[in-house]
Amino acid sequence: MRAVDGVDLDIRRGEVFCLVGESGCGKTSTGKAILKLVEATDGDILLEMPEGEARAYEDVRQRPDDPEARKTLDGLRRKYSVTWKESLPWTVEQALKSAGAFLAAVFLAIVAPSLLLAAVVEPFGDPWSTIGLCVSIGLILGLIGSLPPTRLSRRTRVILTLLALGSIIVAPISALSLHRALVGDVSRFDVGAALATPWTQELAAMLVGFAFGAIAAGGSSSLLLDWRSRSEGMAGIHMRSIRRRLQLIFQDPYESLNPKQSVYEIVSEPLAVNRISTNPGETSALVREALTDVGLRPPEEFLFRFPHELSGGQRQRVSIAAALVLQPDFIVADEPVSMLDVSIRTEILQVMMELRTRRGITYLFITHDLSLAWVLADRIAVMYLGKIVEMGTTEQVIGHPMHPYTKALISVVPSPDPRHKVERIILKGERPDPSDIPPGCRFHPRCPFAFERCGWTAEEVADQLRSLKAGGMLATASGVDLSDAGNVRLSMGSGGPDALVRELNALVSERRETLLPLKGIAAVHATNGFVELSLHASSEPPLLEIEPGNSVACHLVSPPATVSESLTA
Amino acid sequence: MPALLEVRDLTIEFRTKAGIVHAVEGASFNVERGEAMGLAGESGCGKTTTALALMRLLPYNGRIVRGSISFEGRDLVPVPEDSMRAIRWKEMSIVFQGAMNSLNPVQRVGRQIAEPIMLHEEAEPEASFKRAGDLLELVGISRNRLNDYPHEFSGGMRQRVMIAMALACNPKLVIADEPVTALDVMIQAQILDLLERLRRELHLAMILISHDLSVLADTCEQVTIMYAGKTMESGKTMDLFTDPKHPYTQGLVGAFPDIRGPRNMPEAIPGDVPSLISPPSGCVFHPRCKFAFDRCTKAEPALTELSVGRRAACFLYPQVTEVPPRPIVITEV
Amino acid sequence: MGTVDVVKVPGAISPFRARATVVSRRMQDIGLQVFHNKTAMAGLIILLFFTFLAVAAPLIAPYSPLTAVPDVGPLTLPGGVHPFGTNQFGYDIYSQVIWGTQISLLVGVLAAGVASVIGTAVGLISGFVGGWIDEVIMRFNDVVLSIPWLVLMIVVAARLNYLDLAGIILVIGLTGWSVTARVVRSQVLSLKERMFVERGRMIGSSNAHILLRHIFPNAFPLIFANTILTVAISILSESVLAFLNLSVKSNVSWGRIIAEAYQHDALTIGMAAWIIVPGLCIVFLVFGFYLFGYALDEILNPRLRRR
Repeated sequence: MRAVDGVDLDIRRGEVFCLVGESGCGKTSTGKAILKLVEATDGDILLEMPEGEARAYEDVRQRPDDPEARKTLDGLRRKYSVTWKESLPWTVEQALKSAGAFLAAVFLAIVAPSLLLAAVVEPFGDPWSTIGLCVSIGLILGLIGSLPPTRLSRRTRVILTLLALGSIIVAPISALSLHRALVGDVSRFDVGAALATPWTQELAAMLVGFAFGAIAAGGSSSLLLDWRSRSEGMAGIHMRSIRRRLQLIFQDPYESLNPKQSVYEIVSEPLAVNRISTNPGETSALVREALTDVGLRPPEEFLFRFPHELSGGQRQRVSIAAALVLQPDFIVADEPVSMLDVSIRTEILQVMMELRTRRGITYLFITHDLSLAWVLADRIAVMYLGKIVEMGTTEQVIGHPMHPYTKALISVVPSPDPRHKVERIILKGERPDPSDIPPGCRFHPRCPFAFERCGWTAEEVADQLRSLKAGGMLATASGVDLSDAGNVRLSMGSGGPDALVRELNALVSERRETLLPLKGIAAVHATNGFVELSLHASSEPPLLEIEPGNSVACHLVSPPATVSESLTA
Repeated sequence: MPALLEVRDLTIEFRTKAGIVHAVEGASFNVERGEAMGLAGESGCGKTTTALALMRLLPYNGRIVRGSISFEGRDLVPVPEDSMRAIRWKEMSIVFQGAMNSLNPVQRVGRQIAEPIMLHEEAEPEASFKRAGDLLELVGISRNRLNDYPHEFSGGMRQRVMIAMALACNPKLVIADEPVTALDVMIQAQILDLLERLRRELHLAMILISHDLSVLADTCEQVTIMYAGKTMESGKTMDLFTDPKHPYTQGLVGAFPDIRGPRNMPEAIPGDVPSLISPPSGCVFHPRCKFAFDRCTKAEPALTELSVGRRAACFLYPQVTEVPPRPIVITEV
Repeated sequence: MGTVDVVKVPGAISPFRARATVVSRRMQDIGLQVFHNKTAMAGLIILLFFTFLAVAAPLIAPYSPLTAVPDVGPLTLPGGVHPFGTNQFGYDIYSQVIWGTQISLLVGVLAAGVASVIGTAVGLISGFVGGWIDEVIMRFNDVVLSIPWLVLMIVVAARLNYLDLAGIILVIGLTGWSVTARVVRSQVLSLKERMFVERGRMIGSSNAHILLRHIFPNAFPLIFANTILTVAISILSESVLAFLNLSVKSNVSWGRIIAEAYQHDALTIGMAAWIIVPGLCIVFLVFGFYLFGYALDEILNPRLRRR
């Protein structure tokens, strides 16, 4: 189930961008994904990409099959994308190389220390040499296994640790046999006994060695891999450095604060967690500053209060202060005022806007309240069922909406001024379940202007014809159902095919403006004793820029030449 | 001819461990037959309490301390509980706040709608179920869904079911407490449209309770504004919203952004809602009022008539005429 | 929104000071609520009474509990200096009852402590980490739970022939952790989904930090109330074990007194107090913990908490 499907947003520094839509449209998921509270399945969240690279990014995106483009894309993503995970698939070559490196490491690890040890002492004779053997096995494995040409991967560490454990278990064979060789023992070598020797002779030391060997392998591997990734530019953006700059304000001021923490602890926590200021003086000063900035003055009065001792507005201010204390550049505000009393909302919004001017914060405002977006936003994107249907400046989207959904939504928003009554476009029905998204344009079942290309399915057309039949029309047909090929098929009653075809044509031309599914019918023909209806080809309207900065996803609006047609099922 | 519902000086208190909560004080308004009246205010202003008092559904620690609730000329306050049962749901019904979440999840919807019919009108189950089907059709749901369970309906449809339930016994007055608050704006429009249609078709009187003034501006003929238990202003919607007299009303109307107006930030009303256990002296709004003067801290302004149908409780306006109490006509049942 | 004294905090606030202030305020708040709660006060009075008995035993018991009294012989009927009589060895039963308080309280509290610590740790980890670890732990917990705790305890105690104080505490503690674990786990599961935990993740807290600073403090009230109730059960367990002669041999325990009284047909020989008084002590002590624990649960875990 796709909560958010292919959303592209560009948010400029210092602007207030509003993401609006009804419940279930995916706006909250989008906001949370930016903060990585929700894992994005696919796509990139690019931070501060310069203009030139942004254009390059757009360019290589269009060419997913070009391997050169893929490499450039990967490089760009590594540098700027918050969601970059190692996603390039392994090639056979890389897999072989890595496997080879691991094998070499294992071999070296088992042989080298054993050699050294066997030459000097009797293996597993005393605890220290035992531990030393295990640790050195781990160390060698970790280091050799992490050198190039091993491919950098998060799993390398784990693999090497497990290999180290295995090697430690197997090592006694080489150690003991080497020792025997050096000493000149030619009796039969019992492998089983050899494997068991260290565990029986030096159990405690083996256990310690086992543990430390694993740690040595994992640790050395981590260090080496980290160094490699940084020097080869493979690190990607570490979430830790990002968190300072991206913050979220939650919707519910009652639930988003820990009831057992005082205001001071709540606001200072981000500083402590990110180890930004450890000195109490500095922390206190930053906390006080944040509280003052959100209007809780004097801050001393609030420092040791619990959330349940504060009003809703005050709690939300604390929430904002906690977000501010890290001095972020970008704040996602998820319905920050919808749970507050109306007379308090303005104050909170004023605080937020004031911070924008003073600290230069960029906002992504998520809301279902279009009137709020009207007064606050620089730019707006309207979402429906996981896709953006319209995007542009506030004047464009709300002043001159293009998409039928936007038009309907705006018409239906009430105004506190009874003089501003407008003709309301009340859509019928409810939005479909996100697990059952309509094909073609997602909005077409409820759209008052849907036409041929919008995605009418055979089921929808059949349903419409069935209800007409139930209402007394289509007397010449005896039944409506779907053919095996997925087309709509009418069984004939008395009167033969021509009568049915005539009646159908008349009905369609007469009623198609009010009964929109009928527009999906492209042609009517009689075959094999049935009358079959073929439907128009339809497609999902892409989000196209019709004016600079203003995009709409609607077949009615997009220039016909650029829309590519594809057949529906 | 008296109005369908006349409420005069209704005062309700709650006894709590922390003290006596003055939830509503001196509420007065009229609702005519077939008219929609809006009861507006923020959280804690007493609008829900008023509604519950009208239906005599106050919790055990709430009491009507004084005042009268005159329904079709008959004061309901002294009416005993058994007689009240005859009035509840048959003459007056209510759609509770958050009602769409209070449907019994393990009972079919048809049964839940039929239940009040069977109880109040002592009708046979078959007839009740048929009527339940009629009611569903009335609110725009196919009667085939009588046997569905609540979880098979969306939020908006459940609200319609609650409205159907409220109409089960053909009441003359329906109280809707925040009927559209938790719903998307499109569904909100559908529900408000439905209520409007029902009002016209069934000649219903309605009291619509909401904190959202924009919703009331669209649907009601008359609006009463409450704050911290007191009635601040009441009057015809058009007049009240375009020319609010009371400073609180002015602030409240200004606090809602207007999608069809200029792109101005809405105004704030500084301060917080006061405690209902120890309200401020004098006018309850004075700590937050920018026009407050000396008299406002000492005495409480009474709800006075400023012009026909328009009343406000504020010392800015001459406290000359009081609303004359209507003679109460008690009819025996 | 109550009024709060403005805390004068010039300059730097150390994290310790911040926590300390918060904790002390909360303690004051709870203390006040306990004071006003009749059930809690009733329970507390009972507990204080028995605690006093335990602590002051050496001072208030007229005789040593395990020494034959010089003035009268064994199995003397109650009267005079010996209000409950003497037992089969000539020990003063009144003194025995007073001294017995020590064992009951000590074992009860410490065993509950052990059970609570283990149960909390298991519940926290299981609930927070989830996944297959949670499944494994819970299945193991199910096994422990499905065995009647009394039987389990008796079997374990009987196997270990000699039991000292530490032993008996461990036996009761190690068999009683499973309920706490379950309770804590379910609390953790619901806390994990709370918005403030989500916020914690958002600001970059490590899992350990979230567990310790967000989950545990919010689960603590439940854990504490649960522990008090566990004490009641532990006291009962100890009494049962003592009755079956499985508890510490060297000290006197109420269960042991009852066992001896029972063996010597105390009711028929006119020494009803011998068997009834220690029984009543057990009942009242457990009842005291129950009252207090129940009231504390109500105070610490208000069911209705909105706006």
